[in-house]
Amino acid sequence: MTEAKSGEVAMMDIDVEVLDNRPVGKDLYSLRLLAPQIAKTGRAGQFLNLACSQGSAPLLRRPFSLHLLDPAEGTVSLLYKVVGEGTKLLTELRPGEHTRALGPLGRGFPVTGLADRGGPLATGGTAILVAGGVGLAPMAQLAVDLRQFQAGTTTVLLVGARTSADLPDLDLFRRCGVAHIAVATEDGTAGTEGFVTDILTAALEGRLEGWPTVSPAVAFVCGPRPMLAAVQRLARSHGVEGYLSLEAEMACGIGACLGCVVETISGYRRVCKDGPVFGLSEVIFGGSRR
Amino acid sequence: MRLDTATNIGGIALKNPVLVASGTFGFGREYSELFDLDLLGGVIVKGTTYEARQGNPPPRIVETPSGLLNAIGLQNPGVKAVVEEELPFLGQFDTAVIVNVSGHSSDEYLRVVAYLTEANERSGLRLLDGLEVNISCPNVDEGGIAFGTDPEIAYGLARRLRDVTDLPLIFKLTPNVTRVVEIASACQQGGADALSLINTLTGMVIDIDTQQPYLGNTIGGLSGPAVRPVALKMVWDVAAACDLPIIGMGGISTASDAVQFLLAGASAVAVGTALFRDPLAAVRVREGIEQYCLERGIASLRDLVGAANPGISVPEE
Repeated sequence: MTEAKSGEVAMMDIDVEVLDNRPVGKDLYSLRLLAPQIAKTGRAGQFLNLACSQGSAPLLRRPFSLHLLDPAEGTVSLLYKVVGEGTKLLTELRPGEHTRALGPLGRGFPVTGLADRGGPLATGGTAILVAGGVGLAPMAQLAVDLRQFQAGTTTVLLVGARTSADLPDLDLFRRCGVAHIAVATEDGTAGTEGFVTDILTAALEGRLEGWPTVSPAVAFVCGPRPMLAAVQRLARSHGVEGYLSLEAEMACGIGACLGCVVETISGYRRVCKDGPVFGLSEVIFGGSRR
Repeated sequence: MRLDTATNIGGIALKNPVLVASGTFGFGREYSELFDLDLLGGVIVKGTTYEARQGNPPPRIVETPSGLLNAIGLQNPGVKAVVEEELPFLGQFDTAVIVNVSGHSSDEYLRVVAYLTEANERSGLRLLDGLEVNISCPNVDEGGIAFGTDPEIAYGLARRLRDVTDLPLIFKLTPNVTRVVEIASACQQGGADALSLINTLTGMVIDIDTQQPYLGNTIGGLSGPAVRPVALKMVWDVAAACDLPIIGMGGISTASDAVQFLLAGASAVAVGTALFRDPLAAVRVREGIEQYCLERGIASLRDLVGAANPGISVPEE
């Protein structure tokens, strides 16, 4: 094993035991794995590549954000949505069963040392976590890391979903250190009726009831690409900087195959290795078919 | 019993018969964080062109039944950067280094091969052990027909490259042809030292939501277990018709897959797409081949090569 560049801890491919795998919303599952090495070294925004089947169908592993790490217990929790064959098979894993996980992978949210580099969090600003759907996954560990490494920062969470059934219990995020949570659903069954960008606009303009002022702020965003693009535009018009985490279909997951690239202001970059977290203004959306 | 796993591919000595296939392993850096590359017989690096290439627009990959369709588009940093930054890294390991050469014109292949040959001579060290020439690329001088689909064009390319290098030349054949044996023979006549087969099968996927082709490049190349029987049959046919040593590849995921290719007549095998499912797949394939031999009292890997194929006489060492 060699130490990866920029102080990242080396990834490893390990056998993991399933401790718990249960539904927490509509087509939404929480999977807890015994994976002490990853629990110890993983950071918010990083991911692991998990084998969903024993055979060759589906062929590829699936990438999942680290949802919540417990280094003391040696456990890694994932929050995943059933979207296809791989995640469907994943729901069938029972406690005591084993699979393979490669991780921790990618560059996570740059939480440690963020204040040292200046910017809003150096002066007691607000960390605004913005999640769309299962883009909630990395936000729990991110809140934990912010609490640990950015004392003095207030963390707030804005969540968008289609309907209330798509949301897990958000109390978890409060326990992770989130001070305020606002929800938007497209059908109005929870929180405000509308999109997450609607409540983000309200928060940035100080119009969100019961909320403190959130400026100066750094945004941490994860969700589907149209939502990321919308948040990017909104952040730009409000002069807010931050980071976003991308989802992509991946093959190797470690930067070798160049299959998961995304267009950025500095050319094609690998989501798995150069990301999945990029600067909020770095990614160019709309340049390709998806 | 001591098992002899050494093999030779057109002048490239391999300590064991398991390589990793071009395009699935980058230049080895990422996988070297997961296992010791000394365990491999060799590394075939990412397709290298003369100038840097940014590759195709995403999406570049899509999973298919037991397979993977890709259209990366030869993204690579160009031969100069490969020589200066990538090959010295691989030189640390006790494994054969084979550079995959790609181009869109005969001249481009020539320039890459000449550059690599000269760099290797100049280095005074072993910078690379051989060249794998990807002839599945479209030839812009011939209206976009792939070099590897026309025996005369393949022969002409082999002749030109043979004139500028003494490095072992492996021609990687495309399966997207009617008679692969004719292409193999043409490469041999042109001066190739060995063959790799197969490259990916062309294919596509259409997204029924957007009603558009899924891949940014519209078409891609299919790899993975889905193509394995096709690859095996092509190795079988070419081994029977042509004397050149063969690196068999196409969907090899396990030792039993690999042994089939050896029995069909391949002298070595390459593991590719299987690495995406199991990053240590090549190491496991190697161990499994050794176990297979030991369990059956096979003393030398060479005794396996072509053993199932009545069409070939195994070349004497």
